[in-house]
Amino acid sequence: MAGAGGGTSDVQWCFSQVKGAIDDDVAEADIISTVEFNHSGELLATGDKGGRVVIFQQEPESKNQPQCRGEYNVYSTFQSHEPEFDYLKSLEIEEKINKIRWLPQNAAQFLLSTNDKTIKLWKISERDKRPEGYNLKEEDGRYRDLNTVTTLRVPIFRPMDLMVEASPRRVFANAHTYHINSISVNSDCETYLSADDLRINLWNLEITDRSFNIVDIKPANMEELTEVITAAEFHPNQCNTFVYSSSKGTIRLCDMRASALCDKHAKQFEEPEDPNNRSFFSEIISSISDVKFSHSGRYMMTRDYLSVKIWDLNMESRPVETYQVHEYLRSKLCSLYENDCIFDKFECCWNGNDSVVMTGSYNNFFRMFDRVYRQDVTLEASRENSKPRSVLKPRKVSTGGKRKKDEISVDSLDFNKKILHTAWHPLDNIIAVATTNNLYIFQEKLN
Amino acid sequence: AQNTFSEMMECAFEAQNLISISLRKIQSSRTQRGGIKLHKNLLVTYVLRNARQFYMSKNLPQTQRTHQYEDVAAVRERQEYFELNGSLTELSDDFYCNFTGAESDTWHCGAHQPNGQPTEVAHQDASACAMLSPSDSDLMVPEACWSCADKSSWELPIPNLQANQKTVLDLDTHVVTTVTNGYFHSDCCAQPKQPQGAQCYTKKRKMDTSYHIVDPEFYLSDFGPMPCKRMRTEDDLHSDSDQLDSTNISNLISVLGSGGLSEFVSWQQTDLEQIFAAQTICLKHTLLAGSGWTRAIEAF
Repeated sequence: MAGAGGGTSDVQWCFSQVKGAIDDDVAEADIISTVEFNHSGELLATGDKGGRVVIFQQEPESKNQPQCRGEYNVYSTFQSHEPEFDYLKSLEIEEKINKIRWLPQNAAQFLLSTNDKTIKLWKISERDKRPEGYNLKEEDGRYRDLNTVTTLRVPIFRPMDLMVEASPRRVFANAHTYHINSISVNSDCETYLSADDLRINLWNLEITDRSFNIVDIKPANMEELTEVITAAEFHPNQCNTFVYSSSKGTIRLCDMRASALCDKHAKQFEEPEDPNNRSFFSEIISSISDVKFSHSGRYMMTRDYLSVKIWDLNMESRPVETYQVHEYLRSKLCSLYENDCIFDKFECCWNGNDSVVMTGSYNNFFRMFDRVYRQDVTLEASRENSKPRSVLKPRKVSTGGKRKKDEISVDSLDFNKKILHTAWHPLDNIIAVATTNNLYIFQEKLN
Repeated sequence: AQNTFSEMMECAFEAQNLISISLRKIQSSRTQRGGIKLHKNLLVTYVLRNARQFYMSKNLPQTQRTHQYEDVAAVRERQEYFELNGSLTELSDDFYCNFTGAESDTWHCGAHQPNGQPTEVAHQDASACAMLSPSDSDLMVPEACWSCADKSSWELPIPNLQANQKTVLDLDTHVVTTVTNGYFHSDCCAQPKQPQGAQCYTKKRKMDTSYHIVDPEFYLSDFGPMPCKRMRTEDDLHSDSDQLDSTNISNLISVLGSGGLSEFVSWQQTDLEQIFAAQTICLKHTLLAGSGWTRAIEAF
């Protein structure tokens, strides 16, 4: 079956590039922890467990190869966060980058990156000229002996090799007791929110020494804790609206105009649990791992362990669409609990026109669901399918009974190979899919 | 009927396994890099609760059990928070008092009658696991008690009465007692103590067995008052951390035992590893021995 794609039903996906180490021995620091395109799609940022950020830039389309959209090459690499130790609490703070969010484009590129405790605003700027001809300094920077200065000249800019610099412009620290799971830039381009397990704070991008607490679900008595915040996001065009998801499978939409502290939600989205599916693990698999607004702002998508749900913001009682990602895992939940896979937090994403959604699975599989044509496809990110421009073949997991040729049985799936992070170019059919330590870029096959 | 029974046994074993796995996860999360993950621990306690509820429901006929739980639930004010019931520490104590590796015919958190006739007392015992002390000093495993457990005196001939019986260890007082039909007798203890004789075991555990959601970050969470609408400045946060208010002290005590902070260190060292080790030994043992199967299930 042909792949699912935006708009038309027959998009085929081709391998374009893969970034990262080839060897099977994965260094923990290289594990990719977040992937994000910027608003134009020209830049693609990844964060890893070692606290590094790598930014790829798309080459301009060349006239020689009009069939191919530009490749992504490394543009900038920098160490965003370092491991820290909180002496007061005897806690080590991991440097792992949990999220990267780009600011809407200005002259220079700005992104927010966060670990468990601290958010940083980075400016990515290019330098392709440097001043030369100083009167008081030599070219290498040493100061000249003033006695040797007999004439004056005006320094001029000369071209140099392009240098991309990342400089930390703001550090937003000490506002979160629990682990930060989300950051989201407001459409007003002035504020952003950060969410941890129990609280959501609102920041001004210019002000680092204070933030407003807008949601606080910590109970007075921690013994009564029943749920935590798992993700939060601002509405794409209503600057007063945001949503946050919980470990109980609910999503709350809040309006900041209603009150300063948004503990009372304006809307609560929740689907009643199917009692037939009740198990020891019902609570775990209903926990929402990601929430994303559609680009239009009309819908939002949530990801729980086994499914993706699309919600209409006008209807709170149930989702309008539900897609099963890997229902065959429902009978394996006990093993997945033992090996901790059941706690994996899969993300999800929309394509540019909100017609297709994508999310990851195990065995380096990822799934796309076409909402318009009601098709879904399973694809695989692997080195074996990495010939340039080779078309990805749809994969299928056999769920019992006879296993057909080319199908893979559930028991053969490699649960160490998981795709948690995926991103879709905002305008084109280009996707970035992160396996454990590799980043795959696939493009739509153009004829 | 036979199929259902074996399915039930399988589920019961799975539930038992899940409890053991869950406790391990909570324990290992304390040493994880980056601090304890509140979200993951919360989800693990849900599994613990579910597994425990499953076991509880197998000890009595369905109707009686449901009724009992409805009573429990009914007295709580805020239903939504009572999805979790049963203490995490209580659970680990269940393990302890039943799985010391010692063989004893009467060694079970006695809810199950050989003739399958459960009693009112049985239920209470099962849910309480007879912590005689109101404070949950459950996670404390003082070394004296371990040696007590190892001694052969642990296997003192306890009359194998047909009537309901269970043997429990009070981790506070280090007294081992046997409760028979609501009466308890002091059997042995690590330190010489006055035998308590038969007393009416009227002190039941609170039926509102609420879970201690162990705020894993006892030592760090916001100790100050919850902010309503206010700007949280850096100064605020530092001063919050400096204060311990009474709520959090009671959290600490309830989790760590009456010894409080001073025993926290020794707890970390002694900790649950010994419980798990003993439990594993006994699980293996009971599985190998045919009749042990029943005992293992009866424990819950």
